[in-house]
Amino acid sequence: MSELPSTLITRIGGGASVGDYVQILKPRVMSLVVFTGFVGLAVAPGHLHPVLAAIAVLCIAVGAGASGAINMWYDRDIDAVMRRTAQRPLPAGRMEPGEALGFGIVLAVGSTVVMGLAVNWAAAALLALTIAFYVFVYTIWLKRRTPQNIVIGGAAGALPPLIGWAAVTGDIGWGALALFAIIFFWTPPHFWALSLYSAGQYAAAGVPMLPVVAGPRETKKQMLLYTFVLWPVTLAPWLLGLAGPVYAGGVAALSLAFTGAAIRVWHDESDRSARQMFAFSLLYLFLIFTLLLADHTAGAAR
Amino acid sequence: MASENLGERERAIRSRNRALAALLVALVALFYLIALVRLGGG
Repeated sequence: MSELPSTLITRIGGGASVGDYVQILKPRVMSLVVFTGFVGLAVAPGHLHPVLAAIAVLCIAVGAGASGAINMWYDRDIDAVMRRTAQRPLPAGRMEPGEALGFGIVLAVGSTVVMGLAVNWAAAALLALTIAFYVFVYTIWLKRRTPQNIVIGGAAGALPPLIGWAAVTGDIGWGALALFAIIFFWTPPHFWALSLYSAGQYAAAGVPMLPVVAGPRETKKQMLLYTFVLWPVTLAPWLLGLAGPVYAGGVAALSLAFTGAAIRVWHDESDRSARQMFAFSLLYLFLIFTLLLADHTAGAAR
Repeated sequence: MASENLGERERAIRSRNRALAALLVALVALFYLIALVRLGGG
């Protein structure tokens, strides 16, 4: 039997590895989503069976992965243009678009149904809303149309603590909204730091990120303003009695450092400080939620 | 070259099938666990 030409094999597709399937779930984004969702679940008033709590966190993780897969399916054209994303399974030709879309839809439906059956339907509805918001509002509607894409679209990334909270209580409380607000106002300076040093790639792909549309000066100003907004917002869990003075002192110091990073970006014409701020923004959010979890747990033990 | 690609493709499909089988077993275990906890009043 004669050998098949390699072009035909490429067209047949189906050569994606397990690693490729893992990669389209955006595991790095998923880890932060899972952590914030877990903290929402842990600080919510009430009790949830540990097995059901683990299933709720698993559903949040799978739902986030589903959003990532569908996002990669839709954005495969611009991912191919950007250096940062060109090696993803779809633009690199290792996976067929239909495979990614089918995988994402199965995971989205599966995670929502399991959440509803195992935990409660309020948490399941919030999970479905999160996935739908990320796919339809951020990815399909806003991302290619407005520089406010990540401001409004950031709501999707801010919803996981609400899902965790609702998994325990069956509804949404003020504490959950405070956690939502922290991530919502953290998202713009976090993403704009990245887009400052990736502006050329976004411009080539036709994505109207703020540095592309309004320039680096305006972006840096907006980033700085958002870090000021984060001061009262990050203190809200303390004001609502979710955490004690250790949390308040810790987040005040962290917010001061975050504003300091934005000031360094403002004064720096090179990419260096923007890269540093992007890395610090991840640590900043992680430490805020760690402090909240630690202080809340210590308070509950007292 | 083409037969090498075919071999690679077969390996990828085989490992994907194993992962899918593991996933299905995990799903069965998950539903069993959910049933136990919910029936136990959790």
